[in-house]
Amino acid sequence: MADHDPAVSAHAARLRGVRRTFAGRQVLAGVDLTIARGEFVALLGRSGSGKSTLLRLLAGLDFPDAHSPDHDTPVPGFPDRGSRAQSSRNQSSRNHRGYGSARVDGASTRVDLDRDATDIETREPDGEARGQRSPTVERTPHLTSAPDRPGTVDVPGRVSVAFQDARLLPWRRVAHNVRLGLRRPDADEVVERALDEVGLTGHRDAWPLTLSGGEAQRVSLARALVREPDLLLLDEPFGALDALTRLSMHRLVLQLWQHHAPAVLLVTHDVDEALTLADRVLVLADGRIAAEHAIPLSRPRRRADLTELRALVLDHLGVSGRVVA
Amino acid sequence: MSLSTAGALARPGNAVSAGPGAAPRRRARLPDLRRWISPLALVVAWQLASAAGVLPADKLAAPLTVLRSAVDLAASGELGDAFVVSVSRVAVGFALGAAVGVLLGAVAGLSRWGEVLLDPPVQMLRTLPFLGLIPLLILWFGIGEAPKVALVALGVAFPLYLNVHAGIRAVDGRLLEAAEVLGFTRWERLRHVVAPAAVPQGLVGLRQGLGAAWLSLIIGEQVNADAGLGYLINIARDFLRTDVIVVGLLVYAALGLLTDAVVRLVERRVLRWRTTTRR
Repeated sequence: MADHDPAVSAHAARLRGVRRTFAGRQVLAGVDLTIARGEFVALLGRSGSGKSTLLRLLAGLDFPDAHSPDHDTPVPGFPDRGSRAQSSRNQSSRNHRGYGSARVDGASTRVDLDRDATDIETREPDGEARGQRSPTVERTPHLTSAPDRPGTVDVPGRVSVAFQDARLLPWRRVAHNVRLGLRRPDADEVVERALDEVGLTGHRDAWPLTLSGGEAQRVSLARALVREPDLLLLDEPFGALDALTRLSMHRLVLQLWQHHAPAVLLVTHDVDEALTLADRVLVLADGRIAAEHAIPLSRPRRRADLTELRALVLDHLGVSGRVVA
Repeated sequence: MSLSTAGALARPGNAVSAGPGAAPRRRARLPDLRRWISPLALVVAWQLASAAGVLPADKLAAPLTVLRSAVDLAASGELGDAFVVSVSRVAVGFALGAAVGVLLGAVAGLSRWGEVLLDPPVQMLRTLPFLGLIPLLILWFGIGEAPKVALVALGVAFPLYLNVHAGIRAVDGRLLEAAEVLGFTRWERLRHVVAPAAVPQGLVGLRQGLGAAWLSLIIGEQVNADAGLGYLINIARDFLRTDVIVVGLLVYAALGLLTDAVVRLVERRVLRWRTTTRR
């Protein structure tokens, strides 16, 4: 376990030759990606390029294809993982409510896939024990025995996600939404502080349906941050917002990132957003990381300094940047 | 009276000045009194027809006669006794049927195996006209309280089962996914995601079930009852007392309306998160 202690690991996430196939279509065709601790990475790609698939793998909501047979060595405690995961995969690609969770449990690893979304009866046979374990460990979707093996997703620390459609529980008030699932004695204070940070103290008792899109996203950010993630996954969280709200959200995200220092993976199709915010911009195309650019500029950035890079990235995305600009 | 009428008529102007948030609430508080004109006219016409002898009393008693016998029945305690008997039949039958319906619906909704095993027989039984089961229920339970309670329970159980089951199955998968990422325990997921998501549909089932409960009671009480509102009505039929029959029917109607109002009150309370007006 020691080499996966987030305090010791140099990276917040590492993918090696990760593939993912849906119904015969290979969405990810061998992705290699390392995100350093505290690094802000933006992932660009056209619609359907596999951005969200990659994010779901990192979030532990989905699992990579079993790696190719020539690398296949038995995994301690779960000898038939490959075949099991494969058969489950077919199920979950057919059924979009397919569900998966992985748990790292000492030396043995068990992968539970192929469960109905609401099937609480069979879903977690040992839910009691699960509650006592640290959430860091139980949701980490990697194999303890071989983090560097091809086809693995290694996320050593805590992960939080802010989804594009905030996904707040509409029947729980704002503060309750942020607090739910948080297991620590000072949860109430932490929630208050987080709501204060995103500027929503006045809305703590509001119903989510009364919030604007931007407010809902700020609640979603607060909910992700109170979990003190080592890796914060942002799945196009500003996509549905108007331009002005988006700008203020950018500022807020940078502020929160600088204050809490998680590694961030921002999935977006907005090139300007990616260039304004990230340390490093990746372009996903044809199931692989097709291009990568470090942006060693200080923030806040001026648009003029980014013109050349913008054109370059747009080129990678198959859009002629020079004509647009 | 005239004051509130004026308020209702002045409503459009008020709504504009009070802003979008205040308007719907104000509208709900002030019933439109004009809607009472035609029902009252019908009652008056009924009374006149009875007084003129167009409506003979052995076909339909006059409204005033109905009112008088209602007072008499209430004063003698007959109506109260019948009321208590009938209401307790519905209460016990409803409690039994609701417990079974919700329990089976929850099991079928939450567990794949539960659905596979429970849903087919329940769907098959549902196609039986349950009111047609009276002869069997009498053979099974005799002619006491049991067949009447069982009939009410049957009427309640099916709509609740169907709606609770459907409500749980319709839970938004994206919210379950969020719960997954947030590290909810099984209990938290059930309590904060699945159950609240199923409540609106469950309340639809509750209203349908209550409607079925009153219907079952009325039918059940027509068949060899020795107490209750149905008994009162049957005796009145033997003596051509149409006034008492109408009193019984009005009490049934009032009870149905009352329980529906209670459910609506519960709905407004439980579903208050559904407000779409911004603060």
